[in-house]
Amino acid sequence: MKLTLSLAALVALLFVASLLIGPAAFGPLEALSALLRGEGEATVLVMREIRLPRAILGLLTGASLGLAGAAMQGWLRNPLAEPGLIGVSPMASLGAVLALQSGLVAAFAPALPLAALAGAALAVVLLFVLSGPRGGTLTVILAGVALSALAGALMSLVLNLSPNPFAASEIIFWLMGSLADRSMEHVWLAAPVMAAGALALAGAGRGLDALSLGEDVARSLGISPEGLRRRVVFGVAALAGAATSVAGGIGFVGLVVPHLLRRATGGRPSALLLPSALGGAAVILAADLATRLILPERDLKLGVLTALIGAPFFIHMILSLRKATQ
Amino acid sequence: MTALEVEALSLTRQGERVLSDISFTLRPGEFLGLLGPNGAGKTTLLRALQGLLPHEGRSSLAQISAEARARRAAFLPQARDLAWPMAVRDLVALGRLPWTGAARSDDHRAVAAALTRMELEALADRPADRLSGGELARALIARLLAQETPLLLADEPGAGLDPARQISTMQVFADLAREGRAVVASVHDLGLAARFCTRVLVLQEGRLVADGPPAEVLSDSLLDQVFGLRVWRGEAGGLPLLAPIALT
Repeated sequence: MKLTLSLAALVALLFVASLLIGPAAFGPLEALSALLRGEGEATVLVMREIRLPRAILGLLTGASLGLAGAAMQGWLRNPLAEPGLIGVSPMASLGAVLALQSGLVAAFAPALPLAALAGAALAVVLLFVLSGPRGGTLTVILAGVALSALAGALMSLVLNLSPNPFAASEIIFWLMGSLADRSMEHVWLAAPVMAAGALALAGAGRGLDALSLGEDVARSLGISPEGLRRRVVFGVAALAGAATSVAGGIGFVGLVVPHLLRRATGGRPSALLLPSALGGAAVILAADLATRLILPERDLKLGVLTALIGAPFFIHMILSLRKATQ
Repeated sequence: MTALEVEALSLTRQGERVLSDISFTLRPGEFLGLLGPNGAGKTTLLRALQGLLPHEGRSSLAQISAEARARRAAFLPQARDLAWPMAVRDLVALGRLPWTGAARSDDHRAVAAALTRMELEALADRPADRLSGGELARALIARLLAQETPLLLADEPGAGLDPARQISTMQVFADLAREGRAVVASVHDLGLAARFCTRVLVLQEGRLVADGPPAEVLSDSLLDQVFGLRVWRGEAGGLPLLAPIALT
């Protein structure tokens, strides 16, 4: 409980910092009065149309990835699992890439997140079709690998056939992941999908706890592994798909955050879900702030920064696991 | 009133008959030892009678809903499997999962009682990854006990335990049976089965070859026929002793 409250306080602090820090030069009081009271036309525009959606999306995206990662690790009983394993994020990226390539985005701005969400939804349907009604975790993962490979191949094809280097670079920059230049429309599109995913996973806690003891014991404790699989796959897909649709490819958060918080939460998968969501939100809000403070003139991408921090950490995790099993 | 009814249970796996026509009825108060050489079908029977494996025939446990079954029977599999390094107390508390809606004080009492029975109070707050293999095995048995079901199914509960702990674990199961619960445990140690079980059921190549009190069932000819063993017999404190001494 203490950990959850501390993380919630940290998220609140970073959320406010995210509202107050940016290239437009005005003081914190002016910023907050513009946001809350609508005072100062230009400041109101910056606060309500640029910084507020960015801070909200940072919070929602981070929480989604942290929660999805904790659920995925619990379900697969593996500390190295992450939401991307089921192939939903690459399929969401493919939807976004097609929207960019086809010019739909130029005609209708929300086309990008909508196409990404459609890609994620298609991925879920394909996952269930490929893995069958009683498919175990291995079949789901193999289906996820196949979807990732398919999405990767199709994205390469789009880039390959790109009419000009500008179109290609636009796609590549989107794929790097960012929260810059997002609007409240993005928030309204992603938030309900994320809420549905979070709701599905909130009900998975008991099943994930039981699964700690293996599938046979989980069944003997009254848990249906098939029901749990549907819940987890849908929940993770909704969260990771919606996060990708508004922020692009952001890796490692869903892998690293649950891993870091596991021991502090006592090891029960259900006890990890909320702290992991808060931890994910804190990491993304902090990383997004860092992109604004480090090289602000070069538009450092959020996904690049999380990968730069996450990859060495992942290597450290592998080495620790190797040491523990020797 | 019966704790478990199994009628003509058979199981075929990839064209091979693994269990053939097993029937028995278990009553509260019985501690049933499931005996047989490796590959005789003990684990398969324990899983099939809960409906964990597709089978022919009938098991009263396999016919009820998963939720009702979780409140009727607790299961300890052979594998000492725990994915996350949770504290022993939290691990034992997983046994309370079927009892949603139970008072929190009931859960605390059941967990504390299970920890006491398995002599784990001193280790209650230790993370499971800092336990020895034997300590983890005892914590997993305590999880089974915390489920507080009328029927307990345990697959080789003594595996990985030192001789003293094997005896105390069998004693715990015998006590539970005396208190009115029913216990089915697959056991390899014939001496412990003879001493603690009220009844043994002997399997050979998936068939039930003997069923009855250990003193009657574990005859020299049966042990020779099923296990290929000769045994030494004795008595201590009014309890039978039985130790394998040679292959026949």
